[in-house]
Amino acid sequence: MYDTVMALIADQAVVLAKVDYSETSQVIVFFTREHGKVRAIAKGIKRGTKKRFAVGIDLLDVGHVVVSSRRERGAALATVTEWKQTTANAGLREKLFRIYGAQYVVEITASLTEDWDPHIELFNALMATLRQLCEVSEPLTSVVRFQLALLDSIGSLPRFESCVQCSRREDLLVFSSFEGGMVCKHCEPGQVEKRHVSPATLERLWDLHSAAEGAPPQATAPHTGLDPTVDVSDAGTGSHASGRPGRASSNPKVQSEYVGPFDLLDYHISHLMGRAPRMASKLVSVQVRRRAGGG
Amino acid sequence: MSGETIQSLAHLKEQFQKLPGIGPRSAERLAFHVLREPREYAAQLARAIIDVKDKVIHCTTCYNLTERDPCPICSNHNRDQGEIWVVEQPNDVMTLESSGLIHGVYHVLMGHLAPLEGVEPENLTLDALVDRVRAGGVREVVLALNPTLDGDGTALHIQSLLGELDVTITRPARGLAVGSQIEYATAGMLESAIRGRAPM
Ligand SMILES: [Zn+2]
Ligand SMILES: [Zn+2]
Repeated sequence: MYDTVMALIADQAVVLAKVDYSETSQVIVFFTREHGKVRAIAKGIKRGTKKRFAVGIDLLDVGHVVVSSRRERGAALATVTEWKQTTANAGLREKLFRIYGAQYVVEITASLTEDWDPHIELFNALMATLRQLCEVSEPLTSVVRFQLALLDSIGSLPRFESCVQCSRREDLLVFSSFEGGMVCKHCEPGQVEKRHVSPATLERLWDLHSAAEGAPPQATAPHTGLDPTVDVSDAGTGSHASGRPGRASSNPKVQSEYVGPFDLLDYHISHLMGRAPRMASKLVSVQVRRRAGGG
Repeated sequence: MSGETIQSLAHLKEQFQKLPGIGPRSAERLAFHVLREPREYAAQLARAIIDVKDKVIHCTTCYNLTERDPCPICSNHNRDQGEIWVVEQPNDVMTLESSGLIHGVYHVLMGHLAPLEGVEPENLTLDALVDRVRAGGVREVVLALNPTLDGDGTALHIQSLLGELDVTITRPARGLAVGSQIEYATAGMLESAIRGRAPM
């Protein structure tokens, strides 16, 4: 469709990232509604020499972009020819945890989507999440919903309701990112990469998952065979997403019902990204500080 | 050009071309300019370049660029030492000073937090700022950071660092650009202006 010599593409977009390119130019990574992730150079933006960029293009800005793509799509860096901010989402900038939540969301979107690969439903989810984050008093509820939307959109949504190996719906014990879901206690011994999941976390994920699909929540919560008073959601036995000790859930006072699901989905996302998202530990730690009465 | 390559001229051109905003043509023009001028001019130019590297340091109080420590602003007793203007870069000090309206002193962070790019609190002069405020005598900290997302994030981070100390934290007004027209304001400018409207 865009395999022309030169195409002008207009679309709605969210700014996922920007990188200095030269003394006066930046490369902006947009997530567009109908064209997916698009990298485009904004010439003259850093000096404000171009009238159309008089105020710059900022991270998390939402607007209308026109880019020209010189070669066939994806073959070369596009050029930003027009930009008009349409939504300010100013509420984000009032609280650090809102900024961190939004930055986490754009970080994983930038990392797990491909250039010129459209995901309209994901774009809509991103817009809705940024809007929600402008007003929230805690970010994880919105962020966890977005994690699920992203994983669903890229076809990597894990299976939470039954064992990925034997399909048993009871005795679900650990999560394996490699296997793409829960593993029951009978299949667990053969599993190298795994992470314990608390019953509370699993239940919460079930609720979120079925709510996302528009189905009523399951009448019976999955039986995990674990003592429900013990939250071991942080006791990762897999080594891949380690390196962030002392996360929020280790402190019962700051336990949020979304910390467990967030950590588990972030563990899975870290595997898909090949590294832990930079914003993950910040998001949880700012949450802890805030709940402990700090800023 | 043909014939012999004049090495020293080519070398000078090469050095000029490394300067920001200087392309091959401008670099060549500058190199020929130096060549045409008297030897004394070249010596002065070279000395000026070396001097700026040898003499300019960061003030150990405010981190602004200076040739003596503490800098003239920090050591000026007519400046209000109880009012600290926090900025990202030394350039911002120059811009604010040029307004002639600031009677306080400065603190240069040497950047802003950019967690997605790996710029963390320890990469900035945040500890020194907290120490200055903790040392007492500071009434007001003005967070004059760029109103970008990273600048705003840095301001919120500083607010949480100074939260328990007895100091007023403010930031410059934001919104519509003076002399502009509402019609051409961006969504961000409008929203800031509307939320931050002030009585008159
Ligand atoms: Zn099984
Ligand atoms: Zn100083």
